[in-house]
Amino acid sequence: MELFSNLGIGLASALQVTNLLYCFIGVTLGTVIGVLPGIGPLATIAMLLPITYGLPPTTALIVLAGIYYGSQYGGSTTAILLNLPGESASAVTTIDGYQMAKKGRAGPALAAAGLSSFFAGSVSTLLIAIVALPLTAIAMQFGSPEYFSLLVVGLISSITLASGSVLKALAMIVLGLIVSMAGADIYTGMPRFTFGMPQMLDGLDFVAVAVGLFGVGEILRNLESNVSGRAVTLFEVGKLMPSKDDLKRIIMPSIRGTMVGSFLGILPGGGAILSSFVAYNLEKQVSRNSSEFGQGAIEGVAAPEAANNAGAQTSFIPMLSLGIPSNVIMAMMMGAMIMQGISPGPNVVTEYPDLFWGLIVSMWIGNAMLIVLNLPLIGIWTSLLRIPYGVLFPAIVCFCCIGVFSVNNSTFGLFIVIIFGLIGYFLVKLQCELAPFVLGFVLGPMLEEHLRRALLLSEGDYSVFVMQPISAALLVVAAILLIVVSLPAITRKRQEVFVDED
Amino acid sequence: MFLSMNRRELTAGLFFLGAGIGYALWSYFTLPFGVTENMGPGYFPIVLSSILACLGVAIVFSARQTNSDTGVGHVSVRAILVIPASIGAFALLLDQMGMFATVFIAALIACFARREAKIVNALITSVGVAVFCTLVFSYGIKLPVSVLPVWIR
Repeated sequence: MELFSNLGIGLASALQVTNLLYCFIGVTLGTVIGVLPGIGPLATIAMLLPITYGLPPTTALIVLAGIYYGSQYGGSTTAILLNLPGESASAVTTIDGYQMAKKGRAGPALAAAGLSSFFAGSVSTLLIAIVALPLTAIAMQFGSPEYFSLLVVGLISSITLASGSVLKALAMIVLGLIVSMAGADIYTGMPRFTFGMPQMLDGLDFVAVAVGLFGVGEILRNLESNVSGRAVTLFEVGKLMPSKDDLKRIIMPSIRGTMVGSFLGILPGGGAILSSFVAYNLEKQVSRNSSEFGQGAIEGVAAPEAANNAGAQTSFIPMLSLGIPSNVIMAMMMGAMIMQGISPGPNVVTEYPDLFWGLIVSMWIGNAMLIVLNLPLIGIWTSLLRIPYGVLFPAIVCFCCIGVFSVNNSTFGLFIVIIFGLIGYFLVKLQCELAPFVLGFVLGPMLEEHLRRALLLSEGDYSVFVMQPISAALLVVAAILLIVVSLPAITRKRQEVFVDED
Repeated sequence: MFLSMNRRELTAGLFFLGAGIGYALWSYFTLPFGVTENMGPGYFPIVLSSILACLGVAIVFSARQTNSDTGVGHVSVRAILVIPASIGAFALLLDQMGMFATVFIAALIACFARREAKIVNALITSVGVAVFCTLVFSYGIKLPVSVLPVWIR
């Protein structure tokens, strides 16, 4: 079967020593930042993007992916031990995980989180391998009108990532689109919005914008309240091995969580965070032990952990097979691919099979590494938490500076970082979400290119977007999404889901 | 009318309105518009900025319906001034001062973004960060930046 030969290509690629090494570095780094509050996978990936430039494309993606799903593992450690989610996706794990720690059952909680995450990671890796190819085949038939409509769907669905008002999210998308227009126009070469500066001709550097919005913005937010140190009572981890009863109880939640996460991860706008919340709520409704939820039910740890890992990995599917990032982190991955000279889209599978399959297989390898890393080395991770934020954030600032500098070996990008750091902070204070902006920024050039090309080929006829069936269907989906997301009932649900994030 | 509006929403709406108008004018005066079947570089930006301006107006109107006057939460003016200063210092100094000194100074400035920063702790932290960055980025990754200030050689 084709699947096995493709997995074979993947294994050959993923098992190369460099790729194994960088996979290890990625997942370890991911675990560390997952454990440390105040820095997340978004800022880290943004900072490391320029460094991956010197690596071969497959290796670069392996490292960045490792950081993403590694951070899901790390975040659950602090969620259970300290009631502090290192990652927003682990916020749900704090509910039952911390309760279990208080009862002296931190060990089984951690083990449940690790095991269910590994299960989810393995299953979703297989899913990606199975689903990606057929999807790509469909997308091969896409012309410019279809691409345009697909991008519109992607942009509209990013509103589901935002918890605030739909109007503001739309405005952020459009703002992102406009800002991305800076640089030389593709068709005519005329400079647009460049202030006459030659450094702006290539457009605003994505890394600088991302580091400014997420790195600097995050630091400014953390420095708002003068919290010098958290009173930390570290619970004894105790016996790691869960009892047989525990193991039996986590089987079904892991399976359900994996299914929820895999499905929600694929949807544009999905990913780890939404998956974990929905999985927890589902498990609470369905489980036999639902009365224990909130007081330390092990199912309440296993289900969201499985979901957030599955969601993190399946969110690669739309990006790898269609070239549509389903969340901001995928947009970063696309940025990395574009930096390497690879245009993300359906042709990636056929033109770069070792990249595609190598990445997929290395995700499974990364999961295996994580389960080995996390459980025995818990002590090291928790001792990292003793680093005070006052020491951490100057280091983060310097990493950001060095990272942005290294993209073009120029300090020009740093002024972009400052500007977007301030603008980003300003907008976040006004409760305008950044995710729609970033998606608009990444997809803007493609959106314009396909719009212009479609109209060029159809000689100015706008009806081409609705006459071609796939394009029309996609636009209808976008319209439905927009209506659904604006309905008051859904708005309330979205606010509910995101209320724990801060 | 303006006094009973939600200030946060109002500000957001005005920002988008202003940005939309600003970009529209900028595009109009600098870029050719073109026609639909041969869109010029100014076409898409003007369309988008018009949409943005409309959304801005819509948000201003929605500010009337949103209840009460929600604040923006605590803001640390100190951090807003100090962090950009730190990054700016890094940008200006790197060429001349080399990796170690630049990181030390940038980190030192950054430390003071917190009100309760103490000088001794800041100095120690900055040295630590400078050493770490020099080892990892100059010796490890071999970035093309001199470690020591240019004028020492």
